[in-house]
Amino acid sequence: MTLGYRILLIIIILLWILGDFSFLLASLSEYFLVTGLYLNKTYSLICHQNPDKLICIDNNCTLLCTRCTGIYIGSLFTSIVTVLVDKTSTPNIGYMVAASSLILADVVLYNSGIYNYNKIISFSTGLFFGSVGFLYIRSGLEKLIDELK
Amino acid sequence: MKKYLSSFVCGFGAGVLQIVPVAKSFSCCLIIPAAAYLALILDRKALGETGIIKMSKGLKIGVITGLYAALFGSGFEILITFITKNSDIIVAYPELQKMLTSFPLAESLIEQTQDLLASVVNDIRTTGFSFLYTFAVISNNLFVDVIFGLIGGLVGVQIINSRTTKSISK
Repeated sequence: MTLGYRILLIIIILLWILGDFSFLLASLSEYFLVTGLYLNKTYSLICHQNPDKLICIDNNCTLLCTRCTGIYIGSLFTSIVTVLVDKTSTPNIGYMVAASSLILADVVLYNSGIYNYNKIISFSTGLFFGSVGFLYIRSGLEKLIDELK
Repeated sequence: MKKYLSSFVCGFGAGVLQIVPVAKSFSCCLIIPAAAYLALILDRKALGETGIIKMSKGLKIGVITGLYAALFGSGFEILITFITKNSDIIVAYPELQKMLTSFPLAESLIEQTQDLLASVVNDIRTTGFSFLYTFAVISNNLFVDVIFGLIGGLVGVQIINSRTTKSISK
């Protein structure tokens, strides 16, 4: 995968995260408010948007829940860390299973009342899942580009 | 059509699940990628394939599953909005109004945005149809479902291929 594609991936993920933070950035520019209203519907397709689970600052909240925000920030983190790596190998499927299991365990544990919902745990599990998940997507894209050559 | 029957079936399932509130909140962003993965498995079973899947095939099946999910999801949502004259925007309307006034922006802009929202809500309440809302539903579903279908296809192929490689090496 060329450097151009890798930078394009970072830009796409960054734009997606900016969309998530639309309402938090609305005080900076009215564009964020208008796009936020439209994107609210977009993000509702991929997240439950439970008000108690959003990241809020001064009553302005993200459009995605803490875990989903963690997932995309994790993807951004890995995409930046691996930007100089020309080719990544497909990670062992065990990492994906481990990352998914952590999310599942957190959901089961707080839903069964063992502990209360915690945004830090939620964010961390999402961050790990997103970091690992991005490697699979990137590896898939690399193979696809190789096939198309 | 027969070639993409697995995408059609899984896309239909995902489209239905997308509008069921409880299922939606449980599976979140996993519905479409899972549908794409399932479509890949169904396609393999239907064709009796046991070898490695090409990435381009995974991409195709993922995108088409996403497209079907978007078509069915949008169709069902528009139909339900039309019949019930209610939608999630009506539920969220009071909260959106409150939120709008909290932004430190020009009053004229906030008023314009409020008027726009009010006209959408009014259209849905009176006729069950709003052009703007319908546009938002279709464009959002197409964009999100195709992207997540693509991701599901790419990741799904790698999961299936990793299992296939393991079983071949055994």
